[in-house]
Amino acid sequence: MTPDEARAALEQVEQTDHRMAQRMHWPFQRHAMFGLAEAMIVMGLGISGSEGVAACGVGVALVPILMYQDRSRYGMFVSGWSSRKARPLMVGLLAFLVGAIALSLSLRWDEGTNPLVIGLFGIVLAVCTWASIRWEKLYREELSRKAQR
Amino acid sequence: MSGPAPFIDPVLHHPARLQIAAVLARADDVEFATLRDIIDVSDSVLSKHLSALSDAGYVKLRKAKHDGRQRTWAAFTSAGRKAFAAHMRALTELAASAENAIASA
Repeated sequence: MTPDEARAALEQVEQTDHRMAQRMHWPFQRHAMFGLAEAMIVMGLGISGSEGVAACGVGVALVPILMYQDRSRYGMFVSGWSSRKARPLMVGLLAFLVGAIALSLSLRWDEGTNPLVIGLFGIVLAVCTWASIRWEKLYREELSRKAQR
Repeated sequence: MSGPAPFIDPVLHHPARLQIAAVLARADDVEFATLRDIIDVSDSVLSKHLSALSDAGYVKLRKAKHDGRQRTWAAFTSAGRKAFAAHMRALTELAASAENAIASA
C-alpha cells in the first residue's frame, strides 16, 4: 500500500464517521429515560419493602427497553463506552452512581420512606440526564472532528 | 533508523470492509439494513464482505427477531476491534511517513 492509498483509506473512514454523526441524534426523552432508569434504581435501594423492590424493578426493566428502542429507531445500539472521548465522563458518572447508591442505602429507613431519598432521586435524575446529553455531544464531536480533519 | 513496516491487515484492506469496520467500531451492534445504508452498497456486496469479516473472526453475526421481523445484527469481536485499531495505526503511520518525507526533503 502506498502513502496516498493510506491517506485515501483514512479519508474514507472519516467520511463514514461523518455519516454516523449525521444519523445519531438522540431526543431529549431518550436522555431523560436513561436518567429515570438510574434514578429509580438508586431510589429503590433506599426504600424498604415492596415499594423499594418495585422502584428498583422499574429502573432495571427500563434498561433493556431503552436498548430495544434504540435498536428499533437507529438500527444499532451504542453504549456509553463506545466513545473514547466520553470515557472520562462515563467513569465520573459511574463513580457518582456508586456514591449515590451508597448514600441511598445509608438513608434507608426500616419502615416508610426517608424524604431525602426522594430528593436523591431528583438529583440522580438530573445528573444522569445531563450526563447523557453531554455524552451525545462528545460522541458527535468525536465523529465530526475526525471527519473535518 | 526506521521501525518495522506498519502492518496493513489484508482483511480490512478492501474499502467496503474498512467502512464496515469503521461503523462497527462506533457501536455495540448494527443491523444489516442500517449498515447497508451507511456504507451505501447492495445487500449481496454487504453480505459477501460481512462473511469475509466473520470468517476472519473479526465480526460475529447474529439473527434475531426484532419488531416482528427476523434481522441480522453484526458486531465486532474483540479480535476485530484490535485488528481495526492496529490497521488504523498502520494507515496513520504510512500517511504520516509520506508527509515527513516531504517535509524533510
